[in-house]
Amino acid sequence: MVLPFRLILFQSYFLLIAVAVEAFILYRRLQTSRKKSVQYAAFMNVLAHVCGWIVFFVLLPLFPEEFKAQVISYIFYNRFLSGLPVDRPIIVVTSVAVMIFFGAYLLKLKGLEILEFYVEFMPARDKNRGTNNSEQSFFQRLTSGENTLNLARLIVGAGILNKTLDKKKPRYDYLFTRWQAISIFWAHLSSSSAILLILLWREIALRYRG
Amino acid sequence: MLKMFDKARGITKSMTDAMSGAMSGALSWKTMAFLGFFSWFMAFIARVVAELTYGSSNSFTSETLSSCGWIFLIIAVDWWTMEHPSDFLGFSFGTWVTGALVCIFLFVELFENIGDEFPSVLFVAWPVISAIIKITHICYPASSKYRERLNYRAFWTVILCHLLISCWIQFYFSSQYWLNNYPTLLSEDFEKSAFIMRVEPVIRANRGEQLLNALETDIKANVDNQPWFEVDQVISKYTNLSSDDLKETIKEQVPEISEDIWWQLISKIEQINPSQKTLILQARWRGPTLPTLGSQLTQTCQIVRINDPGSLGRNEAARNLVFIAKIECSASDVQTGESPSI
Repeated sequence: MVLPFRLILFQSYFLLIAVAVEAFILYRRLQTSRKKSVQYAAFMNVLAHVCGWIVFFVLLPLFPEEFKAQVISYIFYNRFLSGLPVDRPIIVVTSVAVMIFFGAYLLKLKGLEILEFYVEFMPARDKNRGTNNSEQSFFQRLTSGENTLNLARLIVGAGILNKTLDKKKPRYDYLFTRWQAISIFWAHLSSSSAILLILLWREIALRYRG
Repeated sequence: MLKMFDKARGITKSMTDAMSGAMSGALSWKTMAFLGFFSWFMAFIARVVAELTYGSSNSFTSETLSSCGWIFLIIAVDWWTMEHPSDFLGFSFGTWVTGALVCIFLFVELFENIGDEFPSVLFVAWPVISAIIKITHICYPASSKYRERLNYRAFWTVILCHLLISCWIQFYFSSQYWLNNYPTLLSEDFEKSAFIMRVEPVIRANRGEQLLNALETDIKANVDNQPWFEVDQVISKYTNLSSDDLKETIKEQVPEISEDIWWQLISKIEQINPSQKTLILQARWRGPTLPTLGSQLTQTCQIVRINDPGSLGRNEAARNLVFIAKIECSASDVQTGESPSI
């Protein structure tokens, strides 16, 4: 009987570290409240971890047997096997890591944008925003054609249709500016580096212990 | 007599009171619980009736009724936990209880065959279903107050944490699957692993030995006590087979696992003298090199010609005609180092 206790501990630990680092950077660069920056960071990171797991579970059965053996060996022994066609997996590991880094960044950015998009429709904010939407019910707003179209445009990155001329100020404050996107990238880079350093330290410690 | 009548009237009155209280005025979780138990009671009656009339215990009616009972009970529990919320770090206790009930209902009652085929689905689905229940709570028309004071960023983070827990449970089941499917590959200790911990020692049989033993049993069943003149034919049937075909013949004894593609089975025959043959069975490891693993296992079997003990009464000429084969095999021994190529 084996239990994934170490996985649960490591993943929770990495999540905590990433949230701490990213919240600090977002707080400093975006001038938001401390609470809000922690919430942003927590949402982004948990989203990235969950999506990573789902991709792992979907892709692993599709891989060739040799590659699967390398992954399983890494999971159980923390080392790679020799004597397989994928003998020196360092190139594969590096390119996968780079892909994961940029994929996770895109995911965090888009996930946060979509989250902010939905937060816009919640009743608590209607009071501040005026009477425009409050007559419609929550469901009507959630499923109306304009919103669906806007969500679709948001996902593909085309921006939001904004035809209302009566407002000088942009109506949608959940779209990220370039500065915000760069701040998120900066936060992501820092938290990834922190985790990478911890992993490296663990590897060296294991090596010296024997 | 009058007293009994009074009592009966009292009971009916209290029952109608309960019914009207449940049905009309205040619609609450009590109504749902009452409906649930009532459905189960009716299902029980339907079952008894079916047993008395047809002699079979499960009927469509009773199953439908008990499913309805489950659904009402789930709604009742959900309703009750919404009225009595108890939260811990955003995880609400109530949704987990309701989620567990929904999981048991879905994979033990309703889709029994899915639950039997994949026992893991019950546990993996539990956090996901709890998360879905948590999401549905914000959509209730009655919970506008709940919506107003809800922090949506924290809410969706908690929902994602439910999914993360689900992933951990799935990883546990995956690691069990890998352990069963790669027994030789995973025969060392997992001290350095960053993922898993061994909580109790596992002793696993060598897969190569398992394959060889199964092959030996199969050959023994076909050769032992068979007439000597047929032995050559039977053995050549095995020696002509490729490794994959040999695995195919022993599939019934040892079901195939993923690791088998790295085991190569070989059978060879050597004629020593007219009355004796040696059968060599080998399992070669063709997979990744492991320090503790031998590269091949060999098992040798001696096939000797003996007189049929059943023909002892007959004359010598007849006895010479009915030789039978006896087979005896040694325990398999492990050779380490580089295995020879063929």
